[in-house]
Amino acid sequence: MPGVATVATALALTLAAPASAPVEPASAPDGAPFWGCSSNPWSCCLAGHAPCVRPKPARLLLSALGMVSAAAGAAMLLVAGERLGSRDPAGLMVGAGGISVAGAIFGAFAGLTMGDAPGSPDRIRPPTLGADMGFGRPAVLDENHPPSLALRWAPTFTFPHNQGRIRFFGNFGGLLGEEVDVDPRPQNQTDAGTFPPGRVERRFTGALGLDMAVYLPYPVLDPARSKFLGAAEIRYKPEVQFRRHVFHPGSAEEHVVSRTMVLPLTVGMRWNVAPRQRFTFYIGPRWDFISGTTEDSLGVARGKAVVGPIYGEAWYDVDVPITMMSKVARRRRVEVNGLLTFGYVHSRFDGLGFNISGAIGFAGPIQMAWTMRFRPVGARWAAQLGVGTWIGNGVSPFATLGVALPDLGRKTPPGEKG
Amino acid sequence: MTRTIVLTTWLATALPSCLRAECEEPDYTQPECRVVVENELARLRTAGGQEVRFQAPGTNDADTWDARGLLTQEDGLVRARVAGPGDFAISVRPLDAENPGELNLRLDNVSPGVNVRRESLAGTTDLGSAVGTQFQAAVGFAPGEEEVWLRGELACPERYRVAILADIQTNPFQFERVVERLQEEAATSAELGAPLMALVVLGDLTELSSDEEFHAVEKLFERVPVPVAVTPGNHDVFSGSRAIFNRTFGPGNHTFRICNSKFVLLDTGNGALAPSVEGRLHELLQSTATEHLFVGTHYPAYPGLTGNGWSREDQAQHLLLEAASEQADLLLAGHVHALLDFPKIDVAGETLREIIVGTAGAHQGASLARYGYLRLTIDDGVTPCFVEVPAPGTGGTNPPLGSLPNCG
Repeated sequence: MPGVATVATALALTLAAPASAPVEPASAPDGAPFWGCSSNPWSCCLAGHAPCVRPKPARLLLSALGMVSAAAGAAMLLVAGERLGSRDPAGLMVGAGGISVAGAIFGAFAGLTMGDAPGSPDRIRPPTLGADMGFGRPAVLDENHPPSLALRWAPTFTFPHNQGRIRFFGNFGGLLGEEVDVDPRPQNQTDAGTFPPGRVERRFTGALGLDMAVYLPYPVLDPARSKFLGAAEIRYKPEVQFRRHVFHPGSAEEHVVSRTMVLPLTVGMRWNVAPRQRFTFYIGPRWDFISGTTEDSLGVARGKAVVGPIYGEAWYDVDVPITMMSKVARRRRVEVNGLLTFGYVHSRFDGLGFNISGAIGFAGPIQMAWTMRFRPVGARWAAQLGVGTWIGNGVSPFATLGVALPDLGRKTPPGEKG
Repeated sequence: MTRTIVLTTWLATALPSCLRAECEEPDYTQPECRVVVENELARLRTAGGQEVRFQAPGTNDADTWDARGLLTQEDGLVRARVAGPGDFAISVRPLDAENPGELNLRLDNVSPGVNVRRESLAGTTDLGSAVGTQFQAAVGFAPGEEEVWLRGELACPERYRVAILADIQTNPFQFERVVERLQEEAATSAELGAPLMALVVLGDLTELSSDEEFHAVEKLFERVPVPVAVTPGNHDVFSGSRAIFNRTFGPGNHTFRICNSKFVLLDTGNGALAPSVEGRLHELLQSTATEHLFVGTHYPAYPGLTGNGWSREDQAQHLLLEAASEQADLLLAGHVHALLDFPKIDVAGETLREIIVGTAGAHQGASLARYGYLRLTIDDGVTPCFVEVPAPGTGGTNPPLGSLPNCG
């Protein structure tokens, strides 16, 4: 039974000897004794971190919630069924639940091997300016699947007194060339025995959005009642994404399909389960505008919005402070930090869907990525490089390059006074 | 520098497979490979020395062919399963003009009453009308005849009916009850002056894509009194090496016309279209101004909040736009095991209607199931209603949807 095995694995990892010695909650406010710490070291506060935070119980709770979510979603789909109108957000519950469980397990492993101590305050965030390159899917004879390039931006404004931040993000790009798929019908072979083009497309993509985070006080509850399972944030992330497809460009059959996905009410939360690990979740309604050139239109005919599937995201991040963790004792000129991310996006807007056997069309894609930030010591800027892949309808690898500048309203990088 | 990076990454991804043709090693779980095989199965070189090809009705070019049916040969008999009701055309050429031989041909899945004639340069011969959904013909060649055509033409009533459903899967017994109901409908509808012309099954004929299941469904289809047009669902395309759906029923992507209606069925067994089919959407959906247009897929192009959308939403929205451009009368789908009606889908300023009718028998969940089929009554307009065929012991029928009445 996978669920039982998952719980057992999570328990085994969280109950394993901690990387640092257990600490009675002398760091807990008011010196209140913490439940079970003396007899169960895994439930103790993290050593040297104030206020108290308990990553192991936090990850255990995350994995349990994930299993409940996934099981409930599966029950909605398989037991309640479609006659009762079982619909969204069952797929999102399954996907997000899976990320929760996988993240908790991986986080437990990371905590066991690298420890849960706080990392560099200069942790990796979206670059202020950057570029993403997506690699085209493998082509067959006479086909062309060009890579894609998107320029992106994400300047961030940090609220005073570290109460939150707002990020203005966006991107613009498209395919670096025409995508060509052949028409493989045998009766249409050319005299040379090859297949003619069947589908030719140019594609442009873009997005604009706002990502606002409000940091909740920690602990939220009265310290005497709090379980110290990590700080949380409230998120609001309205966004609009658009895609423009030009089919058979330059021919008599040229026509445009313009698609817009509007996500005005996407809300979420971030749970800092450990000083270096975070779980983030978003959910919101979606509306689509499907527009394009039609027989009767002179240009692109617009229409009204139609309700789309529920939108959602779930992410698990693990910071890897490479420089801090290095045992080499020498003066460094560049500080290096890493970030391992995996997540799930409940949307197949770009034709990426995670399918298993006949279960097709229920889930969006999964992403896995590794990013590194290089900041010269004392510099106001940092370079970021990353690689990753989307898993959905095959594998779609990508690479990212960017520069991180100080947040708006700040003159120095994070972790430095001023 | 940027060009170098782009070129390098491009080569790194493209080089390993750029020397292979599409579906050179076929995987029939992929839609493009099913496009290849459905076209290959529409042409047959017989053991008796003739080349038989399905053609688009109205064409005179025998140098090409079209995926309009399935050609097989067994025990000396060539079987031509016509993919959909209405008119059809088959060309026959002898491979050796000196010894043309004779072709024993059985046409399956034809419209009852379709008039079949033999055409060649020498003239036209009326071969008679189909009784039931089969027609048998022996096709010989006069000296010097290089090409013979068999054409079927269906007389059009002013008013007619078409039945639609999807998702048989694990409950062929319930579908058998639907077949019996269709037998009754075929008799009564003719008397009412609106004869039943076709049954359209929009995928998930089987649960596991097994030979036994396809064979069982094929046998059930033989009891349907009208032609059955099908397209595969996600449960019908599990076999990567054998293309069982196409070898049993023919094409998953095809069009047919019944009188003043054009039906376009598209293979969405993977929750997506083959890229070459997406490239031809405009051509496939083109219809005349006086024609009704119906687009049938297994996966609903507009999923709403069903949680059951296409894996390629971009293709689904492209299809919606093409359907809007052609002012399609109805989008028809299955996959969701329920009866759902989306009467107002705004696409590029046009209003589309989509009806999901996954009610052929598949498991619907923890509630009183709603089994049956959608009936379209077509004349100058299109009137849909639902014919419920309840399972025994359920004690009655479900109340109708607000926007879709039960048939009287």
